[in-house]
Amino acid sequence: MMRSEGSSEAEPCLGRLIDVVEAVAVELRRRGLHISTSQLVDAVRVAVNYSAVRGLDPCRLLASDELGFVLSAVFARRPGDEELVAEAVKRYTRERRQSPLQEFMRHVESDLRVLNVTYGSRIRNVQRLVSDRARAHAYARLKLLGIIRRTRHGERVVSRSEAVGIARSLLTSYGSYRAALEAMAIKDLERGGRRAALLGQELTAMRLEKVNVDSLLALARSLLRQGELSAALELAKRAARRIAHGERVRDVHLALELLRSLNLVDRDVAVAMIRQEPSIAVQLSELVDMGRIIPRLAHDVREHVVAQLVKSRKHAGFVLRLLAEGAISVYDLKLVRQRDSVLAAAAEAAQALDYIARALSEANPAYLDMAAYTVARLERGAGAAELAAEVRWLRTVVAMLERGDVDGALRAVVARLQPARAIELLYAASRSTDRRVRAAAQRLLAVVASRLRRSGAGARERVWGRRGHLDLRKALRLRFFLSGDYNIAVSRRGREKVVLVLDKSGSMRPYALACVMAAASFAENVSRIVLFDSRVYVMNVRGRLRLQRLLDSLFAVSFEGYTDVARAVAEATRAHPPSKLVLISDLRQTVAGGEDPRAAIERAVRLGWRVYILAPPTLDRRVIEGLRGVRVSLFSSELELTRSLRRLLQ
Amino acid sequence: MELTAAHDDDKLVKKVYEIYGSVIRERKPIRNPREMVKVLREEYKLIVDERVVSLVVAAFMAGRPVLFEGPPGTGKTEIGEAILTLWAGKSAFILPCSENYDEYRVIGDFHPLMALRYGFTEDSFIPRPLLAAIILDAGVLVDEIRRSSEEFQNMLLDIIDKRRIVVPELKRVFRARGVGFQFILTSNPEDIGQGELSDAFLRRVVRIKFDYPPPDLEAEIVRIRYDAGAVLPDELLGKMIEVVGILREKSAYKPGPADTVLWARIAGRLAELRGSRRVEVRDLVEAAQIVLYKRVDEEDVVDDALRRVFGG
Ligand SMILES: Nc1ncnc2c1ncn2[C@@H]1O[C@H](COP(=O)(O)OP(=O)(O)OP(=O)(O)O)[C@@H](O)[C@H]1O
Ligand SMILES: [Mg+2]
Repeated sequence: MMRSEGSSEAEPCLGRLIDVVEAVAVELRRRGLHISTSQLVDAVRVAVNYSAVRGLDPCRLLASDELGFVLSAVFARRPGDEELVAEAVKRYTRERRQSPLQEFMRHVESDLRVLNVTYGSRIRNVQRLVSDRARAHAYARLKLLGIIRRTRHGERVVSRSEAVGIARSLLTSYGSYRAALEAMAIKDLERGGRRAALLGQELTAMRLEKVNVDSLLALARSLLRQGELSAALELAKRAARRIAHGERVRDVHLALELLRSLNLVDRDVAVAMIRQEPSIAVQLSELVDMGRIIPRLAHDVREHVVAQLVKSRKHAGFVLRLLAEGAISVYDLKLVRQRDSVLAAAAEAAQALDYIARALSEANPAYLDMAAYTVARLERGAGAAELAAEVRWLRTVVAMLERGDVDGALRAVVARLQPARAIELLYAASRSTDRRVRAAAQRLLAVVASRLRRSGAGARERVWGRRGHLDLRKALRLRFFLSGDYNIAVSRRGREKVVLVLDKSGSMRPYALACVMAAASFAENVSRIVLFDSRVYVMNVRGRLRLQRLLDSLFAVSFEGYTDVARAVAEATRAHPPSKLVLISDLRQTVAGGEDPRAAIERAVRLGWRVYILAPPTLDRRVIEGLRGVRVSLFSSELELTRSLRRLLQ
Repeated sequence: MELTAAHDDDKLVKKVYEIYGSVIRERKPIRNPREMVKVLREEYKLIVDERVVSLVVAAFMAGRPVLFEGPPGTGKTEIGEAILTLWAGKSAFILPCSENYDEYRVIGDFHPLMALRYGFTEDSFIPRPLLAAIILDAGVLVDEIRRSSEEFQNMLLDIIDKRRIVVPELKRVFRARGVGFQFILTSNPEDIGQGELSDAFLRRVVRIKFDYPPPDLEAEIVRIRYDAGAVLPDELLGKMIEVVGILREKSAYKPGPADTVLWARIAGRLAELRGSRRVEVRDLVEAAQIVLYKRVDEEDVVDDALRRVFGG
C-alpha cells in the first residue's frame, strides 16, 4: 500500500526507509504493542517527511539514531514502549544490509538449491527427498511459505514472479522472512503441524509463544518420532515450563507420558499438574517425592491427593511415612477410607479437629459434644498407640473448651491447622455470636496484624517452620500473595496513590478481608482506605497502614445490615486530589433516601477520578449500565479479586 | 489581522475577525526547521533542538497533532505556542484545559439575550477560540490536555482528523482553509490528579518527550532569558544548576528550567536593589527562598541543597 508511494525501484533509499518502518511496526506488534494500520501509515508519512524537512537522505536517517526518535514518537504509548521501539529499530537498521525482500528471496533460492530444483520445477518423490535432514528442512520451509504447492500434476515450485508476489504479501503482514516463516509454522501447527515438524531444530529458534501448550507437546512428540531428539527435548522443555506456570493442557495424562519419557517432570511441573488434575498424583508419586509436593497444595486438593494415594497403594506405609516426615498432618486424612487401623484413626482425629473448629466458630454446643465423643472413641480404639500424641493433644483442646478457655483452644487449633484453614477459622470465629470467641479471635488477629506490620520483604518460604508450628505472618502472606499464583510485588516509587473503597456488608466481607491484606502489602501505594456497610469508616494512610484498626473496623458487626455505597464513594473522594479510586462492592445500595450510587460514581468521574469497580457476578448491573469513564471487572473468586487488585495497586 | 475580500460576506466569519482580529498578529510563516530554530532562539528566546522542530513539522505535514510530554517548566507551553505561530504565520490560540471545559466553551455558544431577540441564529452565536482558529487558519495549543474530559479529547480528535467543525445548531460545517490550522497538546505525565490519555488518543498523536535539559543547555537557557542589570558570574550560575539538579533528585517538587530562570532573574533584581553590579551568593540564597520554597515540609531539603553547594 505504501510501497507504491515510495516507489522503491526509483529511490532505493526511500523504499528501504519504508520497509524498515513497516518491519519495525510488525516486530512491535509481535512484542504486544497494538499498532493500527492507520498508525503505520502515519509512521511512514512522518518518517518520510522528517527525512525531507531535516534534509537527511533516507539512507542517512536509517544510519542515524534519529529514526528511533521519530518512530517512538509515533508508536510508543506507555512507559517502556520506547525501549521496545529503540530495540526494534536497531534490529532493522544496523543488522541488516539487505532489504527484507532481497533477504526473503535469498533464503528461498538457497533452499531451492538444496533441493536441486528451480522455479517452476516439479517435485518428485517427496519421501526420498525428505529422508535427508537438510533437504527435509528446506522442503518444509518452502512448503510452509507456499513456494512449493500442490497442483493437479503433483507438487510444483511456483514461478519466480509468483514467488516475489508471495514474498511481498508475507512481508507486508509479517515484516521479515523469519517472522513470516514463524507465522506460517504456527498456522501449520494449529492444523496438526505435519509440515512444521519437518523443520526440526529450526523450530527451537522460534518464539512460539502464541502456540498453545498442547500443540507444543504434539510437535515435540512428532519430532521425537522423526528422531529429532534435541529439538523435541527443547520444545518439550518449554512446554514443561509453561505447564509449571499454570498453563492448562488438554490431557494431563498424555502430557505426563511425554514429559516423563524425556525426564522433564520436576516438582513444579508435578504441582501444576496435580492442581489441574488431582488424580494424576498417583502416577506422579513414582517420579517425584510427594513429601515435597503435598505441602504446596491447597488443602482441599491435598485431602483428595492423600486419599487417592492411600487408595492406590493399598497399604498405609507410604502415607504413614509422609506423616512421619511432617509432609502431611493427621488432619489431611479426613477423606481417607481405609481398613488400616492407624489411618482410620487418623481420619477420625481429623474429624475431631473439624468438630473442634466448628465448636469454636459456630458457638453450637453440639459440636463440642461430638468432638469429645470422637476423642473418647479414639482413646479406646485400635491405632491409638501410633497416634497417642495427637489424641492427647485433642483431649487437651477439648478440655480447654470444656473449661471455657476459648483463647487457649483457639491458639492451639490455629497453630495446628493448615494456614488457609487457620485463617478461615479465625475469620469465622471473629464473627461468632459468642462474645468470648469473638474477642479471642480478634486478639489473635491482632497478633497477626502486628507481625504483618513488622514484616520485612518476605520471601517464598515454607509456612510450617518447625513441625506443627504455624508462622501466621508467613501464612497470611502466603495465603494472599505467594502461594502458587500470588506473587508479591515490589512497588515502584512515585506512583499515583490509590483510594480503596471496600464493601464489608454481608457476602462481600470475605472479599474485604482479602483486600485489606492486599492493601497491607501495598500500603505505600494506597492513600486512603474506606470500609463501609451502613456505616462508613475512613482511614487515611500516611506511610504505614494501621492494620489493627482496619481489622477492628472490618470485624465490627453492623446491626443495621444496610449498605450505603453512595456515601462511601462521597467520603472516599472528599478532600483528596482526584486519582485512582478502586471500589469493591456488589453495588447493592440498601439505604433508602440517600444518594443513588450511580450518581455518586458519576460525580467522582466528573471530579477527575479514575474509577475502577471490581464486583462479584451478583452485582446490581443497573448501577453500571452505560456508566462512562468507569472500568468494571468481575471476579468470581477471592483469587481473581486479589489478582485484579494487585494489578491496580502495584 | 484584516478580513480579506474572499469571505467578507459571511456573517460569522466577519464576527470572528471582529472579535479576534485585533489579538491575532500576522507574521511571515516560517516552515523550515533550521530557520525556525534560529527564530525561536532570537525572537522568542527559546532554545529548541532542531530534531524536535523537524518532528513537529513532519507531523504537521502528515496531518497529525503533536503531544509535548514532560515535567513542568521545561518549556512545553511556550515552545508549542511559538512553533504554531511560526508555522501558521499568525498567533496561535491557547486552550487551557480544565475538566469542565466543553465544546460550548471552545467552539461557540449562543448569547442568551441575543438569542431571545434573534432566536438561535448566527446573529446570536458567539464563536469561541477553536472555531476562530479554523476560520482564521491559525494553530491551536491545547494546554494540559489531561485535565480535560475524555469526551472533550474525543471531540478534539474528531476535529483534528477531519479538519472540520460541525455546528449542528447553525446547520453549518466549517472546514480548515489552509495548513495553518494545526494542534500541539501539552501534558505532564507525572502530574497526579489528572486523567490518563486514552489509547485511542495516544494512537493518533505524535508524542515528543521533554525532559530537564543537560547542565550546559540549562545555563544557556538562563543566559538567554536573564535580563537583570547585575552581572551573574558563570561560576554562580553553574552552582545554581547544581542545586536545581539536587532538588530534582531529592524533593517532591522538582524545579524546572522555568524556576531556574526565575531564580536567576530575581537574584539579579535583588543585587540591583542592593546597589551591587554583581550577583552574590546571598542574593541567590534569598531568591531561592522566594522561588524554590514550594512546600512547607520541603524547605529543609532546599536549605540542605543550598548549603551543600554554596557552603556555610
Ligand atoms: N528550552 C527553553 N528555552 C528557553 N526557555 C525555557 C526553555 N525551557 C524552559 N524555559 C523556561 O521555562 C519557561 C517556559 O515554561 P512553560 O510554562 O512553557 O513550561 P511548561 O513545560 O509548559 O510547564 P508546565 O508543565 O508547568 O506548564 C520559559 O519562560 C523559560 O523561562
Ligand atoms: Mg505549560
